[in-house]
Amino acid sequence: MLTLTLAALLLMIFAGINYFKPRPDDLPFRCSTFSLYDLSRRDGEKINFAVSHDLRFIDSKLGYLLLNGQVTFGDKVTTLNRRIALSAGHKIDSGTYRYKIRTVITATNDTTPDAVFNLLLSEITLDPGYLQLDIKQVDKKSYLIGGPLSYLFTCQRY
Amino acid sequence: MIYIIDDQVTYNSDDCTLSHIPTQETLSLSISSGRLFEQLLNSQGEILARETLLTEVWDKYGLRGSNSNLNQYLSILRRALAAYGCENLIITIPKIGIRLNTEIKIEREPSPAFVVSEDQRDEEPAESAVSSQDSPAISPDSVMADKLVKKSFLTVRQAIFAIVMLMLLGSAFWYFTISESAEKNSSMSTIKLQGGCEAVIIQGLDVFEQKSLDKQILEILRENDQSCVPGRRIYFDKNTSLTTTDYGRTVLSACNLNSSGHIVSCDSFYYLDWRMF
Repeated sequence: MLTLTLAALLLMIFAGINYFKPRPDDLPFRCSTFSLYDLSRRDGEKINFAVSHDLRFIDSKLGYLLLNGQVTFGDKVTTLNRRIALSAGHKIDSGTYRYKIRTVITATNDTTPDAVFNLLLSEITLDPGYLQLDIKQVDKKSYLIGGPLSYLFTCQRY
Repeated sequence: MIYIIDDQVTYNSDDCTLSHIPTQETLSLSISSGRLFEQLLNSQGEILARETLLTEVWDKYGLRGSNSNLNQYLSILRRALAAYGCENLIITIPKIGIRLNTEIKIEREPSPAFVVSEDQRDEEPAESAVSSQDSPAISPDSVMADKLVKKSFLTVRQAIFAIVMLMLLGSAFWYFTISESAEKNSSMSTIKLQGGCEAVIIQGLDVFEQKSLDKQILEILRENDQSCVPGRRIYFDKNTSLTTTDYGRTVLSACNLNSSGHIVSCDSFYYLDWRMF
């Protein structure tokens, strides 16, 4: 009887620890990094996006992805400063979040044409309406972020 | 069965314990000693040949007995009985056999139900090892070597059960914790690159393409003015295309590690159509 009580108590303790321990992908999730996207085609025009990301999934309703940097398109260099505002998000499996793109807010200093920016957007987003990212922890505070087509970058959680 | 010998000593054949009635002292005999004693106690004073005893005590139980073994156990019994004030119960008839002294009163009583301890069962192999050797003279201490059994078997069993349960629960907890973290990075492979940095191949490493991967990673690092030195870790992944006109997407993250080996910062490089030069 004593043994059974002890075993039951231990099971409850372990279950409690497991239930309450912090999950690495718990919201809010905020991470940032620098990335260089080379979207040039072989023998094609040079298209580079050198951007800082700030990804924030604040909760299941709100979030954003901030892209700030410089774009090289052929021989033109422009400034990129846009925020992809997210809403109506949810976790679709263990490490994947899907958010609705509410709007893309362009900063006043952004000089990148929409057509060029859309090249980057199509690499990152599921479609013009949704952002779907896989979040995979690779180190204590580092996460590999994957888009629908490929992994995109590694960022540091803060 | 409980045998009461000369109103001084009782012998319980179920658990092979010899008890001294006046002092309530108890001594546990080994199973072979117990079997031998029981044979003698049931002999009704008849002479038992040595061969009969060897067969009944050892051979029938798959053990190998010898004359010296028999002498050793008789000696143990005599000393144990003498220690409890019961002398000359066992008489040796030279060249014939052994019998009990019929002048000493022996009464019998049925014993209550009793669980034989695991400890006693485990003694069998040890005795079979002894049986193949000539026995040295037995000291009174060797009689005491037959362990004094405390009748707390249930408590011991409970403790063992509790320990086993704890170990099982601990193992299960450990297994699920470890497997969860192992599962996350199960497909990744780590290689050392020329220069000393380590490269983690996210999709796993195909042995046939390791050389070309090394070359590609080093090439991307060089193109982006990144070094490959100890203290840096590279995460690399590629989704190559089947067409010859499109290489496919490639991503490389060059990370700096701190002294504990954890990532401090990373720069990522994403190629839509990597060009091999």
